[in-house]
Amino acid sequence: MPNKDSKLGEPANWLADHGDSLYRYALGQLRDHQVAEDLVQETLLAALKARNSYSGQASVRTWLIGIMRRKAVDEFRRRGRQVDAKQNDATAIESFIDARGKWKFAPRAWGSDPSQLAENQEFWAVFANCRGQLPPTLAEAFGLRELESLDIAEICNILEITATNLSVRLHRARLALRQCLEKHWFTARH
Amino acid sequence: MARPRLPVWKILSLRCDEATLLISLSLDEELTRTERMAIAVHTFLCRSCKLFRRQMRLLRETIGLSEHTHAGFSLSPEARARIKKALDGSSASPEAKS
Repeated sequence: MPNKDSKLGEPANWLADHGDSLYRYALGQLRDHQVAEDLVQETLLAALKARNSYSGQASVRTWLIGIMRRKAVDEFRRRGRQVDAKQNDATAIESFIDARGKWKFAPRAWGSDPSQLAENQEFWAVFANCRGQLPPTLAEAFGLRELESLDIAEICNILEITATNLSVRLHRARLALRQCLEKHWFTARH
Repeated sequence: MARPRLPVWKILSLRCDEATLLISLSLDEELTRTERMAIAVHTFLCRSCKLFRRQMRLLRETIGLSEHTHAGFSLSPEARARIKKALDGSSASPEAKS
């Protein structure tokens, strides 16, 4: 079994290895690139000091995101914003598909060329905007899964929720993001 | 990671909310045989859910190809340099562990 120090790696490499991940996470939650950059720095400094408390169970990235998450929650509180609850109402499943299975915005064909889409700067601007409109808990779950490609167990670990709970958040996040992209990108352009 | 078993009769009577939940789940976990069959039957009959599944796949492939270089998905070189400097300063004079 690898010992935890070797798993932890060289702290000097943390910025290179995990900096972008941490930044994306922070940006998704706090929506301000300067605040996000500062939070990356604070998190890495805190991790440096707390490296003896790393248990070796989670991956380093999961551990670092966990530290950042606690800091982001503090930041939210400082700004007097609620992290949880009510603001999720607009993304209840019924606001996308009603009880009789009728879609509010029926999905259209989006084409089948991911590389063309990936190269389009304007698409990413719309994407960032749509992601920014998700309630924070949904943006968080979606980001960890789709942008960081963490597996379900790791995300449950970071968010301290069950797999069932996570699957509900991801479902809502995907429906909400999809609807936003449908409206602001795919319908607007074609 | 047990989730409630999907009853077999659901294969023929999935609603769209349930179908999209399963399609979403299929992007994250291994589905059971019953769940996979239920999606197959539903998407055969429902164009919207079939397109939903395609959209989700396209989105994931697109994100995978982006290499996170767009739309502020990565730290700017300036920010990176600034953070590196702060970290180097800190590790040069290690503080007592907290």
